Amino acid sequence: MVRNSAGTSAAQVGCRALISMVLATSATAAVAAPVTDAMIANDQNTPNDVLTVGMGYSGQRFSSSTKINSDNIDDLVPAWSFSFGGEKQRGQETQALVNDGKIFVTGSYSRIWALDQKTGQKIWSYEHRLPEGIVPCCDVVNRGAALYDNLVIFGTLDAKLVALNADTGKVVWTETIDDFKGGYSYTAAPLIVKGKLITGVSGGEFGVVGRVEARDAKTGKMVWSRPTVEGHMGYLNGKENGISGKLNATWPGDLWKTGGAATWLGCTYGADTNELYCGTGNPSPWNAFTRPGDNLYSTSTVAINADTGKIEWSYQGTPNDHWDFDGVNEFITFDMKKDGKTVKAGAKADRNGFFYVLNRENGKLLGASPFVTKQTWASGVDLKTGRPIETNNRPGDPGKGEKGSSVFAAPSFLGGKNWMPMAYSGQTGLFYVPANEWGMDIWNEPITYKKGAAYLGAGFTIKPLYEDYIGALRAMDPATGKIVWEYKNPAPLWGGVMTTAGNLVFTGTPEGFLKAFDAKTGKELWKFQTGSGVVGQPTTWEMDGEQYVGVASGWGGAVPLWGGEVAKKVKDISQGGSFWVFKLHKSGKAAVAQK
Amino acid sequence: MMSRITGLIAALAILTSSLTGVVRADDDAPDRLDIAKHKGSLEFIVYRDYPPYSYEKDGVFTGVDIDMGKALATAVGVNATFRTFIPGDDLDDDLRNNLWRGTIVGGSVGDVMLHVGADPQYVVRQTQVSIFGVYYREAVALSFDTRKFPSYSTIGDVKGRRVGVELGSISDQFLTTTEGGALSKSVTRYTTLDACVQAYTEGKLDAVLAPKGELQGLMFAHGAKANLAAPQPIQFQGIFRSAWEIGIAVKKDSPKLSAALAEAMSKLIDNGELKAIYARHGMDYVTPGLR
Repeated sequence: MVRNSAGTSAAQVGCRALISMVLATSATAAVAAPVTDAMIANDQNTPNDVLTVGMGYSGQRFSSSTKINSDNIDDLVPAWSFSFGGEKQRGQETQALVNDGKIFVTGSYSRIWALDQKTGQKIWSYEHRLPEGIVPCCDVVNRGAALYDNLVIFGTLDAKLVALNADTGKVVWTETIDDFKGGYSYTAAPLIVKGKLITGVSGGEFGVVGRVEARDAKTGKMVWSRPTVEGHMGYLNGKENGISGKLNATWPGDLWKTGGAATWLGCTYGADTNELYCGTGNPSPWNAFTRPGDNLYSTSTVAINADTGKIEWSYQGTPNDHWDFDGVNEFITFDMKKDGKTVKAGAKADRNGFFYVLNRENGKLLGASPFVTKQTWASGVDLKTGRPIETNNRPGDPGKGEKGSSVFAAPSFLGGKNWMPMAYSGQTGLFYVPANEWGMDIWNEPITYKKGAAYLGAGFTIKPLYEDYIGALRAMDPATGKIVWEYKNPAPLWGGVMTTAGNLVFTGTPEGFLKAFDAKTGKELWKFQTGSGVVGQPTTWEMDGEQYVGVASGWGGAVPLWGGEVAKKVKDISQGGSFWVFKLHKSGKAAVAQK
Repeated sequence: MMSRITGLIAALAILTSSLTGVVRADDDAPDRLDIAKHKGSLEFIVYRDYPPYSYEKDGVFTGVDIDMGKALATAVGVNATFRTFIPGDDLDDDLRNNLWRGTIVGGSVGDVMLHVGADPQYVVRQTQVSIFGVYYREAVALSFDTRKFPSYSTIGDVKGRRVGVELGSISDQFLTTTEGGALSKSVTRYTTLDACVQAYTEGKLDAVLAPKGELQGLMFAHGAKANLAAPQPIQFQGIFRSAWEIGIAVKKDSPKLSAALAEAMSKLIDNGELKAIYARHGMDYVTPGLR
């Protein structure tokens, strides 16, 4: 790992300026440090900045910083805290970005702030004006921004992309992803790859077709678009670029036209393969009996060439999904050492409860093992065919009976793991997976809701599997598929995980804590009560020779919106909206002496 | 799960109780009827883009539900204002977002929601809103092109034909799953019924399966020629519901408003005004079974 050894603020600024001068290809006047492709590509190795959500293209959420470590974390104390203010609270799922003396934090209701990296004081804020009548399905969250050139770019609940001047917060360009009236929304963090802004789509159940899009990050102009349902045409520079897959190969009739497979968590990128790895959601309609076939590319990881927008391979976790097992989860690339060899691999902890390891060059399955204690729908995955070994756990067909028979299935539709990203440490060779232990009663209603029509009620209810915990942070060895350690949490885990070379793993809890664990043993080493539930993504950076850890606090997300037994566990959690920053304590004298 | 019969009885009890205004208020807030009389208007909540019931035409919001809302307001002695909304994932969402809590984006709520599906079991489950004033019976119906359909007697006759449906609708689900999917290849899906009926009137489909009122109104609006047969109700087998009642909904904190609207609705039905409104939009008025 290349470690920036800058010790003072002057050195840091100097170093950054030098990098800018060397790397900036189109430095516009009066811009201190435009973010370049080279800087983004090297993000994981530069502790003084955080330029990407995921802390690098691979999405490993690993920092090489060791100043805060398992030996001194007792001294980790708050440096400052920033309140998002206003009346708008709810879920804060963001990860901060750090560059050029500023911290960029997005918040609920499509808001973003630039804060002074030293003081935590607000430099500017931008509050997106949301139109009347938007109905975001699953809370009003935002999962972070992207930096490029002198722009900070984020997506909004009314399905727009907004690029702001990083120094002033003034709008430079806006683009519409799709019509919010059609149920489209946007909550993920965009990804910048070679000057292109990569985004997916979030959308409601009916009529939405998932796709991945690449725009010129500086102008917002569309470069390519790739649908994630077979039969749909892709486009490159305004020209037809071939359909995805083969028409009607895995979909009956015309159902492919509205097939679902929304790409609502976006993509990671493998620089060595030049492929984007994008997870896709469940197919629609929900009743799987209406769409016999695998329904590609729903509930899959899809590898897309970053230049051409063509699909190079795909791997499907849940063929013909019947449990609402969205396959959107992040595919984290890493080099796996197994049997004395190093494999270019990638891993994904799927909603369906399996931890998949694939060869990222060709999508071949290398391993699939459960990261939850109970999986009713499949007994395993056939490593030869890559297909799940199903256990006849599908709900009954309402076309045949009075009502489709009810089955108990685990994990629940909220997943063994939901949106919250896991982390990978090259140092320990372990993945740290924020899992949840819950199941559901599930049945097919003969009536899904349509405006003005009869409606009976929801087709599933969610239930915890254990009395004493739902959440479980688990360390998985990708080479063996074994769980090395686990930490159990009473409420469901809903925040991202980060790991550092200081032998630490960080994650938040709905109970309000940011916690740190020993990366090797899972021993809980440190916690701090932030005042509201933590569902944000921790990150870390260095400044003036000290290491900082930052996380957003603010309870929300999809969990409190679903009722039943689970809601009881979280009903007393206060809402909030703030960004907390921590550093190692120094007494006044020690701090002065060091300067 | 409550049996359908028990649910029906309970629902009838609620429908009756709301007529006499005995639904208890949740808190000390004034009844929405008093507020409406004070400001001189009631706010009706209607679906956006829902022809022939509530939709924009030539820049004006129009439709059966709009006319009905105006007539109800007049009967209560106030003016009508309207707010439109995009449906959420289920009816619970729509009642919550529009009537009792507001959206999580911070929207306010309105007074009366029109065109609410009044399934008896669903009605009885409600804790926050009263669903009452059942005023219409919707039933799935088939219209077919007489030039392409020599005869029609059972649903099996659509096999091999091109039948248009709205995506995800009860018609879609029935045709897709019934008899092990024997009819599924006959289905052509459209994201809106409006687009479906347009294709039908242009001769691109042999038949359309949809709720009768909606289908009738849209065929009228698209100027369907005589070769397209008047929609005839279809009886589904199994649990697929082929007919249901439509009512209105008010938050439970306003029993006086519910009572006033229930009375106003009875009047519109009894004096033929509602029938005239439906006729203006090319539809037959169907008296609901629960009335």
